[in-house]
Amino acid sequence: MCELARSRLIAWIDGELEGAEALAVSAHVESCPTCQGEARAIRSLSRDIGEYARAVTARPRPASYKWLAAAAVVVLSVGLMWIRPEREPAVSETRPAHPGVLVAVPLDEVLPVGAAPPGAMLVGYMDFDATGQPSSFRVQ
Amino acid sequence: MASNIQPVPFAQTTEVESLFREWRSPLERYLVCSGMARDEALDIVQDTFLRLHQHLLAGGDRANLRAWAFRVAHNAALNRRKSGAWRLTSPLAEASRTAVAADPERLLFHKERFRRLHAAMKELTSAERACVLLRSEGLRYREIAEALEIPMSTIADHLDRALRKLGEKCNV
Repeated sequence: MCELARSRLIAWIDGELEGAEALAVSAHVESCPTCQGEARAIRSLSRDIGEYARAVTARPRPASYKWLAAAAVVVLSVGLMWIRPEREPAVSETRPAHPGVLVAVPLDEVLPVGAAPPGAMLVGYMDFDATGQPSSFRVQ
Repeated sequence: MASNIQPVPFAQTTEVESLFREWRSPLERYLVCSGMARDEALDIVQDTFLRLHQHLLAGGDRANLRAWAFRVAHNAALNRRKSGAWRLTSPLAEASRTAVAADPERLLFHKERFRRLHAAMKELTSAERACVLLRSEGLRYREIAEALEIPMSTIADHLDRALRKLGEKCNV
């Protein structure tokens, strides 16, 4: 039986001890096979608890969402290229009173979780009418 | 007509957004692993950040904000339980609806370990369980004490008893 209190060993593992107390426990553990085994068991159990907690709240990431999102982006891009020339004269007649503001929206904020690649952004110009209200959004 | 709506400082909003990204999952994990249904846990997480936003806007104390957020979430969960509004659920039941779809092979591999751990968690006192879960989210003992509003000197003992019970049940 080792004389080191288990609560002190746990506090040492957690980095909660300081100065001389930390050094004393370190020196003891180095020379005590019982405490080394105990420390390994505590670390292993701590990892299990962390994994358990992460598994409980893991979010599903169905692959179908990714394909759906990719398909939506392709359809949207092609559609915009197709209709843009026909709509340009109408746009020029109603040109915004103020220049557009470049905005970037993280895709993971507007699509289901896992549907967008990490860090992907929707970038475009937000136009405003004479009253300052948003009037249109142009994908860049 | 004069408006009473005051503009929210941009820096304040981005700070809360940044904290939300960092602490949303740990708060949710803590509540769900404490036995709260996931949708209710997410409600409490949202409320916690709303209160954090108001706290910062009102010039509240900025020291130990993480412990502050966990204390708000912890107390909100306790209030729901006292009022009978806490719909108890099993974290493993939540996992079967979510993590299975996320990573079925991994969950299957760990299923037996998780089942034993889950059974052992139920044997802990609420203070022991809370200490273990907050520790696993990386909170310092000082933060755990603040979040649970218990003396810091008791944290190590709670953890000792909790890890001993879990270790015995899980045969680690």
